[in-house]
Formats: sequence, structure tokens, C-alpha cells
Amino acid sequence: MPLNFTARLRRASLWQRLALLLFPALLVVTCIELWMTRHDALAAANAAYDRSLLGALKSIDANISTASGGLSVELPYTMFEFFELTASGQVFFRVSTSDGLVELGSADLPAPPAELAMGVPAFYDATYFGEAVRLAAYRRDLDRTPAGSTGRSVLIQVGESTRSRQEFSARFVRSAALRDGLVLAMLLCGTAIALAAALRPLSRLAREVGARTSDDLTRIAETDLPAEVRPLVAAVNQQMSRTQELVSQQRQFLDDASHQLRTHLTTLQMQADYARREEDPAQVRAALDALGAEIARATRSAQQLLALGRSDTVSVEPAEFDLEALLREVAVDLLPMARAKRIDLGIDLGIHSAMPDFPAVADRALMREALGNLVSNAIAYTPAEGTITLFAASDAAGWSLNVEDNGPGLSEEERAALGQRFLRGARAGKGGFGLGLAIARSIAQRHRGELRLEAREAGPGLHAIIWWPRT
Amino acid sequence: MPSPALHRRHALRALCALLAPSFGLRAMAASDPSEEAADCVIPAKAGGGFALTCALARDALQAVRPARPPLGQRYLPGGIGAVAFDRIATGKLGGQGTLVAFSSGSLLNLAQGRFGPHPPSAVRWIATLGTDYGVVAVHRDSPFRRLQDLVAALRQDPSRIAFGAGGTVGSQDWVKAALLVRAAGRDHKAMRFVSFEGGGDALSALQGRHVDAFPGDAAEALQAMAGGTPVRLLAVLSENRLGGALTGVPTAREQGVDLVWPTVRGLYLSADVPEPAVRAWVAAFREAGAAPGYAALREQHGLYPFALTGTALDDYVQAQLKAYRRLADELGLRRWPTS
Repeated sequence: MPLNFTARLRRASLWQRLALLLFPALLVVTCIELWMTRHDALAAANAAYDRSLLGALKSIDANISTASGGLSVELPYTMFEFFELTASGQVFFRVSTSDGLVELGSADLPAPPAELAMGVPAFYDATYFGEAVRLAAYRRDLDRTPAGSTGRSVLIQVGESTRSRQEFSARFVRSAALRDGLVLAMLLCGTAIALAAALRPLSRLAREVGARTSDDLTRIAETDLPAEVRPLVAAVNQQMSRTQELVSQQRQFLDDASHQLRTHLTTLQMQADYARREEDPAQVRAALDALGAEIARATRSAQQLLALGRSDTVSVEPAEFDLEALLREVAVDLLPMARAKRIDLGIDLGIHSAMPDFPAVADRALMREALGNLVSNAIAYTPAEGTITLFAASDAAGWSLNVEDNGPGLSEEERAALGQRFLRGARAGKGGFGLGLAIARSIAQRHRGELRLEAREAGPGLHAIIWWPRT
Repeated sequence: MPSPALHRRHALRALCALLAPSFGLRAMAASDPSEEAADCVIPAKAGGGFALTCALARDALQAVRPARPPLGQRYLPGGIGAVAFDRIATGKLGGQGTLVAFSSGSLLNLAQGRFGPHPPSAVRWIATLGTDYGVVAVHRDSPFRRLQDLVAALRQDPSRIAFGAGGTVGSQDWVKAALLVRAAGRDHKAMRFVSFEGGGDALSALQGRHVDAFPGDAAEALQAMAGGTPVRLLAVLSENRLGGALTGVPTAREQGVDLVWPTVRGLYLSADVPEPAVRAWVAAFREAGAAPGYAALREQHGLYPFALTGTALDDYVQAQLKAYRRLADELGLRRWPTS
């Protein structure tokens, strides 16, 4: 079940995974190494033992004579003593004429497997009396044909039992196996220790994170963590800071919302109390009008708060729409409010950009909300008989909706601070201002864009821009 | 090629053995292998002591078992009897119809473990037919007139004398030469020993004065002398003087050198041959040895009396192996372990 296996491998601990991958690999490497050692040991043993075999061959060769007529070999005892000292098995030799008619020594030594070249010794393995033997053979010309033969060359063979060299290489391989086993064990122990040391930061991290309280959203320290774990911790930290941001945003929203609503409710309470104490029906009526106006403001605040809450959570559904139509719609909606302050609210088409590519892509409802808030703010803070101009623009990177007024404008510090969510300018007391900008900013950000507050180019005033990129 | 009758008899015997073991045994005892066709394995090439042993066995057996087909002569050369011994001991060759010739040389090799890892009990020793004796020969014109002259020369400088013989280090001839050098009070390791294919070549070399002394056997020396090779026998390595062609040749002992070297010749069988068959063969050779014409037949093959069978032969083999092992140790010959 390979699927089962891979699933289990995926779920296995790093320890198991390493053991599963590392141990067979090490074992295979060790086995290959052993095999090569055995091969080398055999080759080395053969080379060394063949040398002494060749020495024996040469010394027999030097003692061959045909001077007496027959083939003869003088056999000094010391030569044989020397042979048998170097070999642990028997040493055999055979000297024979090329026609095989005259032969000395072990008559039935196995013949060389191939025809021998004159004067070139050859080595070969064979079996002699059920025992594995290594033989050296050498053929050379004779000075004269020995009696009883027509052959003019002589074949000299020297063989010895391979027991000695087998024991040598077996001993060699045994010690190599022992050494490799030891090295393998040490390697595994060392790897285990090194792994334990290498994995300690991970378990420490797990302990630290596990020990945190549920509301602890501070960053996890990355400094003394391994480089491999740092991206993971950084990602977790990023996730955590996003969460923290969200949590603090929501907390601030709640703070803001309760503050806003409490202000309205306090005012309403005061107005209601006043109306109840007043006996003059005209005064009561005026108080009731004021009460109505305050309820309208409270309603607007509540709507704005809901819009803000929604702009954070509602899903953005971008679609193509006409920016110019949106400008016109918002201007028409807010025209009565502007008229009340005798403010000239107008739409500028094609002044600031050559020919805006007005079909834009965004969530139209959200954009309408954002633009409406900006225009309301402008009406609220622009003195009577001021001018407010709306226009749209586009470039290769994105689109923008612009609201320009000739009101008092904002100082540089205020511009930097305002539009930060729920932060209020010096004139925050007028109510709703902070929320409107915050809503516009939130919507711009939901479109991966931004809200810019700039000083008007010509004269005092504020130029608010919602910009968002093409996708 | 066995005859159909033989096949039938084998089949019958097998059947008997299957049906009733005791009856089968009696049936087998009834069939005497010495009356049946059999081979004598000569574990060497043609010519030489083993061929001679088988020829003598054939002739002697024919004298007491006139109805039997003549003993077949079969050659199985290799390792001076080692191949044949190994084949018999490992069961590749055997049966009650396969006799193998052996000599003291075989026992010497067996004692040194040169016949493979087999004990002497791996075969059944049947009979010895006679013995040859070692001789020490020199060129007729050699300055060494007596054995003492040679011993004296060896004492002076053992490397001055080159011995020539068939066989290599550890062989009978080498051991004889080594014992002679030792008798001269010198280290046999300093000895010069030239190995030839056989005694014949060695004697030719002696004739050409390429070697100085020949520590071979009487039979081959006499054969060479009969062929005109100018050889003088300095000593015969027997306990007492021998007759025949060796009349007048003194023993080594007489000349103050205690060196006796018989080369006993005989036959063995495979160890798995059933006891009745072994007994039948032993009886046949005992009869052959006691037959009136045997002495002449043996002399004709150049052998001297040495007839042993049964336990006496087993004891002799054991004693010889022990002596050869001691000798090998004394002479610094390596012995290979036998099981």
C-alpha cells in the first residue's frame, strides 16, 4: 500500500523520517564499501602472493637443466622450505616439455587455460585434488631437446593452495566489517545526538508558544531560532500581527461607536429633559425640532458605523461601472445639503485628465459609500458659499475619485494623521468626521488602493483622493 | 565391459540383499571376487614399479586361480599414486573388482599428507607381494669405490656431491640421500639434489657424470646395468646381503652406515568393499604367495621376499606410517593434516 506508506511517512516525526531515509542509505553505503574492500583485499592478496609464486617459479626455472640429456631440476632444500613457509597450503610444481612426454613434479597439475606466450608468466586459478589452487605458469625455450621428448620448450608451473590468501583477505574483510560496523554505529549515535541538538530549538519553541496565555498576541522571538524555522515563525508572527491589528481595530471601532452613540444619547437625553421642563409650547416645539435634528444625526452616525463595520467585513464584488455616472449620482444626492450652506457643488468632466477611461472596475456600492462620505465631510467643513468640485481620473495604474474644496484645509500633521482610522483632527468635535474618512480609507484599502489627503494646488483647501489600482 | 552373466549375478545379489540380509551375505560370500574379472590399477604411466606390481599380481593370481580371467591392467597416473588414492578414498572409484598398486613411496606420501586429507583407513590394505631395496650407485669410474668414500666426501663438503634421482623433495630417493648426508654428520639441507623424471633419466645423467650419486632402487639400477650403463653399486640398503644379481654388493650397515630402505610393493582395495570379498582377496594372495612357483615369479619381477596380508599388513602399514611421519619431522618436511 504505497499510498498508506506515503501518508504514514508524511505524518511520521522528523526522527522517524530521518531514520527511515538515513539508515538504509548508510547501510547500503557500508555494504558497498565492504564489497569494495573485499575486492581490493583479494586483489592485494593475489598481487602479493602471486609475487612469491613468481619467485618460486623463477628459482625453479633457474635450476632446470638438460645438460645430462634428460630434463632435470636441481631442488635445493632451502627453496622448498621458503615456498612452504610463505604458503599455508601445499606447494606444487611441474616441469614438463612442450609435448608433455617428459615431466617432473606433480604430473597432473591443471594446465593453463590459454596458450602461453613464450617467456611471459601467467597466473590462473584451478582445482587440484579438490582444493582451490593458484598457479603460475611460464614457458621458455630449452637449449636442447631433452631425451625422450621432441619438445624444444619447457613449461614450468608452480601452484599453491589459496587457503593462505583466502584467510588473509577474510581476515582483512572481517576487520573491515568490524570497523565499518563501528563507524556505522558511531555515525548513527552521532547523527542522533546532533539531531537532538539541532531539533532542540523546535521543542523549545513549542514549549514557549504552548505556555503563552490565550490573549498574548506579541511576536515570537525570532533571533535565536534556526534559519530554517525563522520563515515559519515570521509567517506566524505576521499572521499574529494581522490578527492583533484586527482585534485592535475592532476594539477601537467599539470604542468609537460607543463614544459616538453615547454623545448622541446624552444630547438627546438633555434635549428631552429640557422639552419636558419647558412649558411654553413654542419652546417645546423648538426643543422637539432640535430633538428631531439630533435623532437624524444619530441615525446618520449609526448608519456610518454600520457602513464602516460592513466595509471591513462585506465581500468586495468588483464589476465594471461608469465613474461619471457615480459622480453625478452622489452630487445629486448631496445637492440639497450643499444648497443649505449655499455651497457650489459641481462635477468637473475632462479638466484634470485628457479623457478619463471612465468605465472602471470596483465594487460600485462601496465606492458610492466612500465618495458620499468624502463629499459630506467637504460640505460639513467648507464655509458657506464655498466651492466643492468632484472629478474622476484614471491612468495606466488605476483609477481615482477626487473631491476638492476651498475650505480651510488641513495642516501637514493633520493630513498625515487624518484618515488613520478613528483618529480625529482638531475639529473632531463636529462629529462624524473621523468616521467618514475612515470609511473611505477602509473601502480604498479593500480595493488594494489608498486614501490620500493633499493640499489643494490653487489656494487653501483640501483635495481628497480615493485611488485604487487596476487588477 | 562386464559380461551379461556378471550383470545377472549383480542383479541377483542385489535382490538377495534386499530380500534377506543374512542370506544375501552368504550368497555374496559364495561369489569369490578373486575368481571374477577384476582390474589392477597402476597409478602411474606405463613402466616402473607399479606396473611391475600389477604384472606380478596378475601372474601370481593366475597360478592359483587358473579359471579366472587375467587381472586387467589399468593406468591412472597422477601425483605418484595420489589421484588413484583420492578416487578410491572419496568413492569415485572402487568396488571389489578394483585393486590398486601401492609402494612404500605411497605410504611415505600418505604419511606426509600428500594424498589429500584422507586417513590410511580410507582404503583396505590387501597384500604385499615383495620388496625392492634402495641402492647407492655411482659412475663406474667414480673415485668413490666404497660407500665410506662417498660418506667421507659428503662429510667434507655435502654440496660437492650432486644426487640425481626421480622424485622431488620428500620422495623416497630424496629421503635416502638426505639420510646418507645425515649419516655423514652433515645437515641434509646443504645437500644437492637434482630431480629427473624417473630413475632412467637419473642413471643417464650419472653416466654422463652430470650427477655424482644415484640413491634409487635396486631394480632400476640393475635394469640400467643390464642395458650397459656404466654404474657401480656402492651399497644395497637392506638388512642383509641379497642374492641374485646383487650378490657381492655389501649392505650399508656392513660399511658402517645404518641405512635400510625397503621399497615394499603391494595392493589395496576400497574401504567400502564388503568383508567377505576382502577376505576372499586376502586368501587368494596368501595362496599365491605360498604357491611353489611364486619365488621364481617374484624374482623375475626383480622383487625380494616380503609377503604380508591381513592384520600383519595393517600393523606394518601403521608402523611404517609412524616411522615415516617421524622421519618427515626430523628432516624438516612439512606434513599436511589428514583427517
